[in-house]
This record gives sequence, structure tokens and C-alpha cells, in this order.
Amino acid sequence: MSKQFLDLEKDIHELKLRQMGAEVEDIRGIMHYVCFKLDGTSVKYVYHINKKGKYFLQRRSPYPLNVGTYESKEDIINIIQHDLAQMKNAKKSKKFDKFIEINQSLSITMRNFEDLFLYYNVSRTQTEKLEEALQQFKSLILETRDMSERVYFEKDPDTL
Amino acid sequence: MPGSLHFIAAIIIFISIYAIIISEKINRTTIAFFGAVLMILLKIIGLDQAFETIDFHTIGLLIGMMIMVNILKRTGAFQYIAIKSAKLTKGDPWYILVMLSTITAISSALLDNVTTVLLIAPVTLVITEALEINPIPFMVAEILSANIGGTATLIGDPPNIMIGSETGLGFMDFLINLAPAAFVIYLVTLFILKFIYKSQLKVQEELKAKIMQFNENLAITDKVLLKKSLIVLAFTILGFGLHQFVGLETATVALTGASVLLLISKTDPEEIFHEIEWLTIFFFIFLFVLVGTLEEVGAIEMIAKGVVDITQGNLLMTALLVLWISGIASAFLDNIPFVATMIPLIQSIGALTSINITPLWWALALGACLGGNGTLVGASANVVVAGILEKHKHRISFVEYMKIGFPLMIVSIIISTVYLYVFYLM
Repeated sequence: MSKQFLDLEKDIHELKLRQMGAEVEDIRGIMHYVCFKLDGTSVKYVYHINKKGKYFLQRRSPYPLNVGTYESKEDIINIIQHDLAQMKNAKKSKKFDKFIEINQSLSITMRNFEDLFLYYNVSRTQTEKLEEALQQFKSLILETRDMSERVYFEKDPDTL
Repeated sequence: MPGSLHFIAAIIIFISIYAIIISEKINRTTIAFFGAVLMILLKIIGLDQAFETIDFHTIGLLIGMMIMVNILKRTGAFQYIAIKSAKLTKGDPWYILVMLSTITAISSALLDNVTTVLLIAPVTLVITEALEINPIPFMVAEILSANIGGTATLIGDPPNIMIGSETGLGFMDFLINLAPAAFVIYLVTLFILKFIYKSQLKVQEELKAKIMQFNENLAITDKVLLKKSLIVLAFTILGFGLHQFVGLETATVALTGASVLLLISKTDPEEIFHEIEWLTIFFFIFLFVLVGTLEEVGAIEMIAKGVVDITQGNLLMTALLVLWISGIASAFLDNIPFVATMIPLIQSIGALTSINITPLWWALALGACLGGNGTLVGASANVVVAGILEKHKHRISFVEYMKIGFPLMIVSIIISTVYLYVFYLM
């Protein structure tokens, strides 16, 4: 698609979004699609570099994950480096495929949960049940962490 | 010299490059670049001479206007005017078409036609989507209006910019001599379009109400920049009106406006310069070298002698020949290389005969600009609109457009014939 048509599409989107009441900031930049091959498994990332100094990094494969927003371009490469090293490490495990399967299932469950609240009037009792199940799941993760040997030391876990 | 090796080589290169440009097999700038370099490499024209053939007035005017438009379009002013106009019609499709076409025609008289259709197209698509109506009648009307509006002024269409730059005719000369004809042609075109499209422009009342829900104020993105841009644009247009009287070239006026706006707008110059249509600018540059080489080897003079032999130096016959050939040719060919070739040709006709060639410039401008309406490939604006429609799943075929565009183009050339005859040739 030529630049002319890209600009036109951008104008149409902006016009519609502004009519919806949005404030739209137009940040020109370069979108990077990055792909690594790990013994038959594709590890894909997407990020956007621009002059504004905010960089959004997302992992697209083997399962989608919003990695975060960073202030420097160097951080992006650093994060990808760690993520890739962790993936390589995890790949050695016999449970890697199961790990991917559970992660993909979690992503789908997230969407199910969102649809539940956007499309249905969920009762308080059911909401509390869901919260309780989530707490149990969180506890299970922490319990599993405590029972498992740590294998990656280059950086500390972000959430555990 | 005619008959020399350089002469033959120049003709072969020029015709080959022209044929490839018409075929659209290779990007027009790429092939014009190759042709221009070939002329220099084969020493048909020297490098210094090649640089001298480039008309920097045209280049300066184009770049100056592109910079100003690129800053102005960031303000959302065009979308504001278009939404406001659509609301004034209370959502009536025919009157929306008239309003959007009029905005396009007026904008095209002051800005590049492609830029104008790219500015008006997003609003048109959003409005027609809200009305649940086919956008083709609106976009076709905008193509026709852009090309007619562009005819009216020196800065409206590249052929006029080139004619003005080469002949010394000024902004007011173009406005006084071409705007009345363009205005009549615009009214007649709208009248005919009403009959062609009236059955397609019907919508339910509740859809009309959707248009009234649009808020034009939300389209304005930067009020301060808008004020600055409008002030500079107003002074620039005033400068165009006065440039002949104060001894300034139109390019100087446009470049002054652009530099002042860039300075006071505090927009990022890197982004603004990135937005300039450099491919178009370089196409002009290489085309000037190609045509300049043809002129250098004597080919243009030879063709001019042939034309004078046919017309016997008769002004009426020459003017009508220029008008109709320009009109028909521009319907199928890119009018920029066509006009670039015709300018030295008309200058040579003037040198070979004693006729006043000024009416020939008006004939060339009317023919080349209005001819663009004849087919979907007749002008850059047409190609862009066809592409936009196709990308939005409303394809208009070459024949489908030609059924409307070509007869309307012929009508406009007939009106131009009458206009030229009554005011310049009688």
C-alpha cells in the first residue's frame, strides 16, 4: 500500500475516533516484526520505535503477551534477549509443550472471562466464586514456585 | 541538428521513455530518471546544460505549496469545513455532493489536486458510510471538480504552474482568463451530474439525522496552528494576487509562505519535509531534462515547423488544434510530460510566426487540465480516487468512469472552444 493510501486510512481512522470523542496522537515510527526459530518453535515479537520515547513491546508467539512499555530502545533488545534466553531454557524441559498449551489456554480463558462480564449480567455469588477460583489458582502458582528448583538467574522474575 | 546521431538518439530515448510512462509498467519517476541520465551519459546534453533545463520556479512553487499544505492539513481544517457543510444540507445527499464538490473545486484552485482529493476523501467516505450510500457518485464528482477547479488558477494544476513559469504569465492573468471558463464548466458539470446520479442519491430520513450528529469542532486538532496557518495562507494568496505588481515570482511567494509557516508553526521540519511528494518533484526535474534535451537537439523546432505548415500560422486553427489535442491527449496520457513538451513547441510556433501566442497558452491550459477528466487515468487525482474506492470495496471500472467522464470532458472542451473563440479568436 502506498504512503498516500496509508495516510488516507490514518485520516479516516482519526476522523472516526475523534467523532467518538477520542484524543488521537499521531506518532510516526517504524514497526519491527522480529522472529526467532527455536528448534521448530517460532518466538515472535512486535515493537514500534519512534521519536516520542515510548516503546511498546509485545510477544506474539508461541503465546501472545504484552511485555510492556519502555523508555529506551536499548531496553527493548535487553528484554527480548532475556525473554529469548528464558524460552531457550524452558525449551529444554520435557514439559515445554504442556507449558505452551496451558499459556494458550490461559489467554483463551482471559477472553472468556471478559466476554462473560461484557455480554452477561453476572451475579455477585458467581463473581465471588470466580474470584475465589482465581485466588486458588494464584496460590497454586506460588506453591509450585516454592516446590520447584530455580533455573534462570540472569534476571529476577518480574511478578514472582 | 536534425538528422544527426544525437538527434536520432534523443528522439528514440524520449519516445521510449514516454511509451513506458504511458504503459505504467515502471514507476514514472524511475524511468524518467533513467531517460534523463541516459541523455547525459550519451553526451546528447552536457551535465551543466541538463541542470540549466530544470525549471526551478516550478519546483520551488510545488515544494512551497506542499510544505504549507502539509502543515495546514494537520489542523483538521478541511474536515471541519466538510462536516460543517454537510450539516448545513441537513444530510441531503445531493446537496452534500454539491457542497463537497464545491469545497474540492475551490481547494483545487489553491492547492494541488491530488492533495485536495486526499483531504476530502476521508470525510466523504465517513459521510457516505453514515448515510449507507454508494460513495462513487460523490468521489466521481470530486474528481471532476478537482480538475475543473485546478484549471482556474496558476497554482491549481501542474500544467498551469509550468505554463506560468515558462511564459511569465502571472496568477491574476490565469485567474482573469481561466476562472470564468472554469466556473461555467463547473456549473454545467454539476447540472449534468444531477441528472446522472439523482436516482442513486436517496436515503432514509433517520440516516440523514446521523449526519447532524457529527461534531465539526472535534475535527480541529490544533486551534493555534490553524490560526497561524490560515493567516500565512491568506497572505500567500494575497502575494500570488500581487506578485506581478511587486516583481516577485510565484515560487518566491510560495517559498516565503512555506518558510514563515514552518518557522512560526514550530512543527517538526523533519516530518514536514518527509511528507513532501518527492517522487513528483523529481519526476518534474527529470522531465525538464528530457524535454530540454529534445529542445537542444532541435526536435521541438522541427515539430513546430510541421504544426505551422498544417495550420499555415492561422491563430484560430492553431488554438483549436492545441485545445482539442491537449484535451484528448490528456484524457489518456499524463498531462505533465505532455505540457512539458507542448510549452517549447508553442514557444517555437511563436518564434516561427507572427501570431500572438497568448491565447495558445489558455488553450493549452484548458485542454490539458480539463482533458484529465476524460478517463480514469487522465489525471493523478483520478488514479488516486479510483485506488481509494477500490480499497474501500467500491470499484469503479475504466469504462464505467469513462461513460460519465469522457462526455463531460467533451462538453467542457466545447465550452472552452466557445469561450476561446468569443474572447480571444473572433
